[in-house]
Amino acid sequence: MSAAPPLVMSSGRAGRALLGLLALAVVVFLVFPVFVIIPISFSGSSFLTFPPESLSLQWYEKFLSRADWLEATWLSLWVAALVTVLATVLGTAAAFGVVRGRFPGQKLVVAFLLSPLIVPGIIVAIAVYFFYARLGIVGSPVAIAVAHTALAVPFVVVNVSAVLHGFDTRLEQAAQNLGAGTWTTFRLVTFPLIRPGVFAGGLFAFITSFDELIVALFITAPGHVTLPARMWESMRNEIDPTIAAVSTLEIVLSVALFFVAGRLQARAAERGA
Amino acid sequence: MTEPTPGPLGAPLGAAVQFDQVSKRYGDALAVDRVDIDVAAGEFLTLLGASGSGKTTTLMMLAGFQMPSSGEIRVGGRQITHVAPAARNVGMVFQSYALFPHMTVAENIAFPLRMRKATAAAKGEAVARVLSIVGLEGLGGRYPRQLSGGQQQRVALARAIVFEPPVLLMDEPLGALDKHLRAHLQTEIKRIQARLGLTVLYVTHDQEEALTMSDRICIMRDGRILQTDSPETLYDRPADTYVAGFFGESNIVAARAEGDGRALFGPTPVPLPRAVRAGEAVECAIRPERISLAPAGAPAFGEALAVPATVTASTFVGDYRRYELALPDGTALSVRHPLRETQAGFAPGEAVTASWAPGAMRFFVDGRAVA
Amino acid sequence: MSALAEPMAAAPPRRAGAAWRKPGLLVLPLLAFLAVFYLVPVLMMLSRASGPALDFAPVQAALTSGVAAQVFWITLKVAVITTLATLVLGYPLALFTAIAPPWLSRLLLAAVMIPFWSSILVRSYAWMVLLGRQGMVNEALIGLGLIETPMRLLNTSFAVYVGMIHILLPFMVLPIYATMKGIDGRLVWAAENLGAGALSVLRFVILPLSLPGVFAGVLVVFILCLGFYVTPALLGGPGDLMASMLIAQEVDLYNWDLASAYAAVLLVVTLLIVAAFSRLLSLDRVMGAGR
Repeated sequence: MSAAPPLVMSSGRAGRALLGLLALAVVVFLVFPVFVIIPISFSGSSFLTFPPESLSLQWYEKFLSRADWLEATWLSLWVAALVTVLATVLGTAAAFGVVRGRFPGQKLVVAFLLSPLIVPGIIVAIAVYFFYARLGIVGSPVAIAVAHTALAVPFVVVNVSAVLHGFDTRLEQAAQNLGAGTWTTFRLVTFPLIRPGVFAGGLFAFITSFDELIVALFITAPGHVTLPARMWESMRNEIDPTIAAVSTLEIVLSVALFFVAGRLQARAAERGA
Repeated sequence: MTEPTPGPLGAPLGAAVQFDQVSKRYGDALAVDRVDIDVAAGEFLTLLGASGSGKTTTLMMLAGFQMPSSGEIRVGGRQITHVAPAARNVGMVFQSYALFPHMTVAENIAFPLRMRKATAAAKGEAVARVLSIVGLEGLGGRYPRQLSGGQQQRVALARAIVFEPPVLLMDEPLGALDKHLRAHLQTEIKRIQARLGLTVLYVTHDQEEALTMSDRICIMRDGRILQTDSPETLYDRPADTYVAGFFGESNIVAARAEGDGRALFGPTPVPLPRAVRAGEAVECAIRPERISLAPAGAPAFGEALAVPATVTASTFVGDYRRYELALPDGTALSVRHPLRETQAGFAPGEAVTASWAPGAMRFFVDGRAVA
Repeated sequence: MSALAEPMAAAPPRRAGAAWRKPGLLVLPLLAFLAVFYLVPVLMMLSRASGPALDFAPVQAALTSGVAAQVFWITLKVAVITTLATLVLGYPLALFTAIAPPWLSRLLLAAVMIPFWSSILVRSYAWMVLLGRQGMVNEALIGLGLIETPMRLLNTSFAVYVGMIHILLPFMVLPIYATMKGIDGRLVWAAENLGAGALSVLRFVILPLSLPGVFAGVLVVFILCLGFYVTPALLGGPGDLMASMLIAQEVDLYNWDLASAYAAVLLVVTLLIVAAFSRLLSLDRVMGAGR
C-alpha cells in the first residue's frame, strides 16, 4: 500500500532547464503586475511613475481621511461578513446533503448549486437588479449580501464536499457506538474534523464578496457603494495613486487569506487521509 | 499483569446475545438470510466467511448501524433491535480502528465515559486502568497518528472496553497488521477477554485466526449460516464440502456407492456410512495430514486402509514435507508428512504405501456430510 | 471504580434525527435560497426577453442586430485567443511545477495562487499602470532604444488580451497541475526503463495522462472569457466591446428587454457549451486544485 511516487524526470537536463526558464518567465508575468502596485502606492507625486521619484504615505492618508472611501470599505466588510456566515451555513449543510444523501436528480441539483461559478456575472447582475428594482430593495446592504451569497456559496459547497468525501464515516459510527447522539457526534467528531474545509470555504466566500464588482455596480445605491464599485468609479475618472494604496491593502489581505486558506486546506487534506 | 483486578472490571461482564431469524434485505438482494445465533455469556464467537458472506452486516445490525429487515436481536435477554446505536452499550473495535484523529489517546478512551457523564476523576482512573490492561501506560497524551499500528489497535480495544460493555464486537480488528504482530495481539485479546469475562463477537475472513481464538465459529456464506461449532468439530466434522474446504485441504475423490456398502477410492474399496444408499454419487475426503507413508510392501496396521502409490513430487515446506502421489488408476493424492530425523524422505518415482484409518475419512452426498 | 458503576449504565435511548437518516434533506435550505434569489430573478429576466407582446421581438432584434453580431464575434475571438494563449503559457508552468522539487513547487504554486486570490479589479488596474503612456512597458521599450516615442498600449485589444490572459492563467494552470500531480511517478520510471527519453516520456506518458486537466482548464477559461466585463471595459478601446459590456450598455440605456435578450443569448451559448462538455468539466478539480 505504498503511495505512488511523485513525478520525477531523470533525463533531459537541458530540456528541463529550458522548461524552468519558460516557467519562470510565466511566473514573473503572473506576479510582477500584482506587486508593482505596492511601490507606486508610496509615491510622493500624483503621477503613476515607476519607480516613484519620492516616497510618502499621502495616498494612504487620503484613503483614510476620505469619508466616501471609508464608507465603501465598511460596507464591503459588513456585506462580506454577512455573506461568509450565510454561505458557510447554507453551503455546509448542502454539502452534507450532496455527499451523504441519495435523491432523484442529484446530479442536476449539484450542477445547479455550482452554476453561479460559470454563469456570466453580468447575467446574475442584471437579473438581480431587475428583481431588486421591482422589490424596491436596491442599495440595501442585506440585499447586496444575499446576491453575493449566491455567487459565493459554491466555493463552500466545493470545499466542504471535498473534506466530506475524504471523511471516514466509521468515526461517526464509533462515536455513536460509544454513546454519542446525533448532535453530539457532529459537535465532537464530525465538525472538528471537517472544520478546516468549512473555514477554507468561508474564506473563499468572504473574498468572493469582498472583491465582487459587477453585481455591486448594479445593485448599490449611488453614494453608498462597495469598495470595488468605489474603486471602479475612481479608475474611470481620476486615476491617482489612492487606488494603488487601496489595492496594496487588498493585496496584503489577499496574500494573508491565501496563506490561511492554504494552511486550512492542507489540514483538511491531512484529516481526510 | 496477571493479578486479578478489583472492582467491576474484575467481575465477569459478559451477557448472552441472540439473533432470532434475523434478515437484512437490500432491495431484492438478501444480505443476511434468517440467521439464528446464540452466544453464551462470556463466549468468544467468530463469524467467519468470505467477503460478501454477510458477516459484517450481521455485526453492524448488532451495533445498530444497520436495521434488520425482519427478526429480533437480544442482548442479555433485552430486545435491542430498534434501540439507537448510542444507547446499545455494546463495545466495538472497528476495522482500521476509527480512532478520533483530533483527540489524544486518553481523550479517545475517555469519550464513552464523557458520553455517560462520568466525573473527571472517574474518567482519569478508568483510562489509566484500561491503558495498563492493554499495556500502553504513559501513552495517554499521544495522538493516534503518533502510534504504531499495533498500538492503535490496543487503543481501539481500550476504548471499546472502558465503559464495561457486556458485549464486545470486533470487525477484522487485526486485518491491517503484519503476521507476527497479529499472532501476538490474538493472544492479548484472548487474555483480556478471559480476564474480563466478556462476550465477544469477532468477524474475520482469516480461518487460522478463527481457529486459534474462538470458543465457537459460525461459518457464513451468501448471508446464511452453514455451521456453528467448536473449531475442532468444524475441522473434523465439517457439515458440507464448503466448510471442509474453508479449513485446510482435503483429498476428495468422487465415487459411486456399490451394493456392498463400499465405494472405490481409486483402486481401493473403502467402507461407506450406512446412510449412503447403493448407486448414490458420493465424495470421499481424506485430509493430507491423516495419511501415513511407508515404503512399498511394509505391513499395514490393523484396520488401516493401505493403498499402493507412486511418488510424483516432493516439496520441502519446513515443518513437514509435502508429497504428491499417483494411485495406480491415476488418481492424485496429496500427503503432509511430518519431518522426523529418523526418516529418510521418498524420492519422486519411488513406490510407497499410503495408509490411513477408515475413521479419518469423511463422506459427502450432494455436498452435505453423511455419517 | 464503584463510583463509576452508575454512570456506566446504558446511555438513554436517543432517536436519530430526520437529517441523519435522510441527509439529502440538508440540500433544501440552500436550494430554496438559490431558487428565490438566483433562479427566479434569472428566469424573470429571461422572460423579459420575450417582450411585452410575447412575440419574442427583443430576441429577434438581438439576433438580427449587426452590432450584436459584431460583439458576439469579438467575444468569441477574444475567448479563443485567450484560451489558446493561457494553454501555451500555462502548460509548461504546470509541468515544471509538477516535476520541480517540493520547495520550488510550493513557491511556484504560491505565485499562481496569489494573483488568483487578489481581485480582478486590482490586477486590471496594475495593467493600466504598466501599459500607460508613461507606464513601465513604454519606458522600458524607450530605454532599450526599440521605440522613440511612447506607444499607445492602453485601451487597445492588445491590453485586453494581456489583462485577460493574466487573470485567467491560474484557471488553466491549476487543473493541469492537479492532474499531473495525480500521475503515478512509477509510470515515468517504467517508460524511462523501457528506453524513453525526456521528450518521449512527455509525449507518450505525461501529455496523454494530463489531458483531462487540459480539457477542464480550456473549458473553464473559455467559459469565463465569454462573460468577461471588468478587464475589457478598463483596458480595451471602443472597438473591444464584449458581450457583457453590450448588455450593461443596454441596461444603462433602459433597453431592458433588449438587454435581457442579449443576456439570454449569452446564457444559452454558455450553458450549451457546458452541457456539451460537462463530462470534461470538473469544477471540483478547478476549485480544489490549491489543496
